[in-house]
Amino acid sequence: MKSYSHSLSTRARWLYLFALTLIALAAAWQNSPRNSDTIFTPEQKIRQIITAGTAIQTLQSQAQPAAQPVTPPCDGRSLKVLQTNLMAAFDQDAASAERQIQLAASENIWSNCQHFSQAFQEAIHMTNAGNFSPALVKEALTEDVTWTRRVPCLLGGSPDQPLFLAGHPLQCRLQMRLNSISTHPVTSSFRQLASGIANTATMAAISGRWSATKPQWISLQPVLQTKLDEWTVCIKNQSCPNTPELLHLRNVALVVLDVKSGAVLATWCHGKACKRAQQQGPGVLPATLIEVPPASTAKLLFAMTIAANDQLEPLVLQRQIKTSGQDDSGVSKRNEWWEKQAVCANTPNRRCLLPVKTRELAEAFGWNAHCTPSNPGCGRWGLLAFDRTELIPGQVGRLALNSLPVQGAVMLDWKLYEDIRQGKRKPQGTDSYTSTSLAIQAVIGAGDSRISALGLASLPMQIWRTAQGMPATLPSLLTSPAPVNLPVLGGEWANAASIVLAGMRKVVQPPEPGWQGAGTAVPAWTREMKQPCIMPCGVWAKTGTVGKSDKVFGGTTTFSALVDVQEWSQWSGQNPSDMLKNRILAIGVVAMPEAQAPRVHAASFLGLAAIRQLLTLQAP
Amino acid sequence: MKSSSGQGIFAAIALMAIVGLLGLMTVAFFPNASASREVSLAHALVARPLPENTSFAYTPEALCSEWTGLQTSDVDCRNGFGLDTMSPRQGEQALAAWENGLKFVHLQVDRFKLLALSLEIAAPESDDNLRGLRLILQQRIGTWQERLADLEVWDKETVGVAQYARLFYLMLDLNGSSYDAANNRFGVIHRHLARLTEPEPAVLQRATRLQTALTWMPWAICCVSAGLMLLGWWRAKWTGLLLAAGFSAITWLGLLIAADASVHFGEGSTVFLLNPLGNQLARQHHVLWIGSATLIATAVLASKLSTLVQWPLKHLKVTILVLLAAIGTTYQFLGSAMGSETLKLSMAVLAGLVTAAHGRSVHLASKLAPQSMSAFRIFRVLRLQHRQQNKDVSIDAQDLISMHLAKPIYLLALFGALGLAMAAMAFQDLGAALVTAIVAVCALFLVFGARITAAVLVLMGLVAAGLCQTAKMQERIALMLDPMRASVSDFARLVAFSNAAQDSGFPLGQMAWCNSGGVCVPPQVLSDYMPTILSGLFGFDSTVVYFCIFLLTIILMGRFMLHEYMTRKGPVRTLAITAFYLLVCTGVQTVITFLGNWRIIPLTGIGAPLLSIGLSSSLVPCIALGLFLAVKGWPRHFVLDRADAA
Repeated sequence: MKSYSHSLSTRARWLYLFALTLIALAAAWQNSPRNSDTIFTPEQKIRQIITAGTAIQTLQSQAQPAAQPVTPPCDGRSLKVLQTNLMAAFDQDAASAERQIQLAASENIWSNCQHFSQAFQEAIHMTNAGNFSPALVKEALTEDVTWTRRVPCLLGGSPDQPLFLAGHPLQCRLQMRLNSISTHPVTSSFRQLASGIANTATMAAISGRWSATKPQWISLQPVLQTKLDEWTVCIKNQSCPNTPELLHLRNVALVVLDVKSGAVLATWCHGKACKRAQQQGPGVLPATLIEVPPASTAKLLFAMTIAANDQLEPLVLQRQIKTSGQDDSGVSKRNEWWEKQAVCANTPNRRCLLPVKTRELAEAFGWNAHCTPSNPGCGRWGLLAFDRTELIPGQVGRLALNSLPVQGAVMLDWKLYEDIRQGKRKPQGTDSYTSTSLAIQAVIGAGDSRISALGLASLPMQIWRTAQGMPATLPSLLTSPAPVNLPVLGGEWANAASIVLAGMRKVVQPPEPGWQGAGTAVPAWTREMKQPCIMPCGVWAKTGTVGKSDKVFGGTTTFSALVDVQEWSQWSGQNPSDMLKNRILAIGVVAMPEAQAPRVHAASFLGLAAIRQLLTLQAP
Repeated sequence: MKSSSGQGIFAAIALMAIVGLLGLMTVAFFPNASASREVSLAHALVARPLPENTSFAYTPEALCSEWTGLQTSDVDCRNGFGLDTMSPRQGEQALAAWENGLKFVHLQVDRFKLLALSLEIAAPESDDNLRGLRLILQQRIGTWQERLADLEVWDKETVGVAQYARLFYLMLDLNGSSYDAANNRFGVIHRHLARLTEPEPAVLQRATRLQTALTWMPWAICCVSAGLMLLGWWRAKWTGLLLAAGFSAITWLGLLIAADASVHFGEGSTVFLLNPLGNQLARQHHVLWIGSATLIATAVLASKLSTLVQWPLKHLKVTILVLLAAIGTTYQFLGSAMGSETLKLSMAVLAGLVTAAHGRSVHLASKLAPQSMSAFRIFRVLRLQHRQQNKDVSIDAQDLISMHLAKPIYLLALFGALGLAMAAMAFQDLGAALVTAIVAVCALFLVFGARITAAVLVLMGLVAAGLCQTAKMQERIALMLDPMRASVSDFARLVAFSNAAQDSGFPLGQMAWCNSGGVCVPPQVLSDYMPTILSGLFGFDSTVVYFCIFLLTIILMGRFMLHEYMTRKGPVRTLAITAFYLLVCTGVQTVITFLGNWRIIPLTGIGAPLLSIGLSSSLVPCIALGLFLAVKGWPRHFVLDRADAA
């Protein structure tokens, strides 16, 4: 018979063996692959929130018949508070809330009441903020957990008074004294915009869609934004003695760029369209998203191509830019000269390359980005990261010439096309007709072409940069990273840009011998600057007006300008703030009048008012 | 004699070398208290205390009650809806509540502004921690002001449910409170900045305790390790000295990690503005003393108390009742950590008692009357228990033996079932339940052999399969299998932390508790995720080596205790087998914690013995080591001959 000790020893040996096997297995684990995925995506939670949100939205949009009753995962007080939460959040009755709960509960994804309630809580929050969609839920819950990932350190303001916007000061490793954004008033547009940008950047960094290794400076300038806030106040008070047109605009947007860096220095937006644009996502700058037809500002692109072709006397082109078309009895309509140029009327029955070259130039200036048939964001770039249009997008512009063949097209005779346009002849429905129509619509900035205040500021910026032999650049909200440059254009474009700039200078100048009419911005110039621009006065401009025939945008005015601050201050005798000295600014303005508004070119008035007020130290 | 004194000299040198080394390493590697943002914060608050007359005691709970005119149990305070009528309620005091709420918000924002000012004036600009805190505080003040401005545009006569809801949330935020609508529970967020605006901020006490703990830590470690090594030498010579040195080293490591977390956890994070682990070193300092005292007391007093062992052996039922009551009480009143420790301790003690009392008789019965040990008979005799009282009824001799043998099985099973049910069902402590279950299975296997153990294992397997279907277990399994897609990001962050530590780990004293983006490892890292922290400190391979060495030591100690149980006589046998089960507890807990952290098994939420914070990670190993030293030092007068044992 085995002794007790022997029996116990045997059993103990089995235990030791088991324990040692465990240790060996654990030791072997070290050779197993580790998890290299760094993006945390709580799929079940995402599915639950989408289900809850979908239930909310389904029943908000349509009355649903009572489904088969389902027992929700919650009961008692938990169920009641969920129901009241839905009732309070969407101002609905108990039955609707009950149906929403039932609809969500019918999905077999709920493990307990806590998850059910939390999913509804998140869904309510996102729906109320207008951020609910399956993609946005996934985006909001996704987190990059890499230990080396950096949440961006975002700063704003000026180097002598830096503002801390996002991140953690410990991570920023900056020795300078930082101030809080809360030192700016709650109502300040700078505070609102900067906070929105900071939040978006932080969220994007958390979800792994954007990263920044060094502290980043937001380019918006508090000084400029504060001055533009005066406009908001004057509209609110219905008293704008210096800029009365503000009171008659349903939507207005303004963007100021630094030409040398492409940085967005200031934006201002007012009107319902701004509020709608604001809903496109957190952190967006509405002024950069309100799209209108470019109208005559599109002529700048064609002017560049015409000048580059070197077939015209520069002065002729410059005068056409000045008055945005011929302004005398030599033509039947104001845009005739431009339209004829666009369809190569002087070389009939030959392939016209000018619109195609203009399209190529526009693309070189950043227009028509991401234009695919299914992309509603055609023409947009990312202002935080150029390739991330979903973060903080900005509309640079789109020129509706995409369907023109690369090798050019044979255009209709301008007179023939004009007759068709006037209804004197029937349209032929040929490719030539389509091409002619596209080219003519494009040169007058009509049709499907669109631009924003950002694009209007960007266009003269690119022309100036081209004239200087610099590459075109994309607008950006950050100053510290190197600007994203587009491919450099050939030497002929630099000369063309200089010619066009000379034409833009004439836009603010009074009539001259040999050409009828003052520059299209002269009325505004006279009001704002009080003295005519005869000698170089530091401003180059172009105006545009959408014809009344346009049912949506009729009467909308656009304004594009460049300001050499130093030259302007010498001319005007005004002393700009240190922050602006030696800068070249580009300004874009979009103004959409109310139906009964006085007929003035509001965009140019506001654009030049902005130039004067922003460049003058004292309050507007 | 010469050799003995020579050994003593060597031991003294070794002791002094180890104690000195630990002391020096404490001075070198433990963080400086001045690096703690809470200590800096305390200095700033002491230099510029907030005026006491600017606070206004009005809570979100009071707003809810006054606005609705109902008890908070009858409303959803988030929206002011009465739960009886399912409609918004506005009581007679609603306007007064609105005014009081706004007044509170104003005053609280002002207090936060004063706090920001204090930080600006009292804190040096070079202190990045406080600079960061000030800027984040100012940002929050800005947000609160915006929210307040949104509320103030409303005339008090026109405010409605929507405005009430916004005010309620704003007050919650400013008060640093949380509200669980489903359970009508208001809570305090301990790491919220609002805690700094309270009349006597707890951060001051925490900072003082942290400073004290860090100041005295080298001395405490030297004293404790010297004391333990002396004890070890006294009870078990070189083995004791070595074990005490190992114990001190592991405890030192645990303290180092706790100290680092107490000072640096949450740095760079915008979530943990106050360190949620700021008081852990001070607590662990106490645990060090209590654990060491327990160890010493066990080692010294075990021989004195050994006679008491006879009593529970005789009164097993009463012992079980007392133990169950103790488990329930500790779970209920001292928390799940101490409850789980009591459960494990009780199971080890009971298993020791049962093994000591019945092991030999079960063995003899299984050899001499094998039928009496059949599983069927063991279960069958359950219904014969009452017939035993009746002298007229004759009972088969085999049944009589079975009845005698079944008693400890049923008692152990009853205790196990009740204890496990209490832990797993009533207190949701699956980790302790698992450890206890494994110890019980070990005891069953050692005492009753493979057949009965297999039957119990099958039963337990069925229960485990059922438990696996619960939401909690499903979540943990999902967390184990695919942490990057689980519902909580805890493990995903730990994986990222481990990957960032790479093979060499973070340098000592430079543990990256938070990533550069301010995302931190979960705050329960010092208890549940200590193996991951070890990987962070020394690299993954070194952690595996630690795991293996620790377990091998436990196995060797267990083997020795089992040997002592088999070869000795008298009460020391009970102590030895109890120590064996306590070591099994420690080993099993180590395996479960490490394997859980390595995602080989689901995480159970129990700490790594001796390393993790809290008495719950130290008590069982300390008693086990104390008993080991006691048994090792026990005079060997009662050694049995192996043949006699049969």
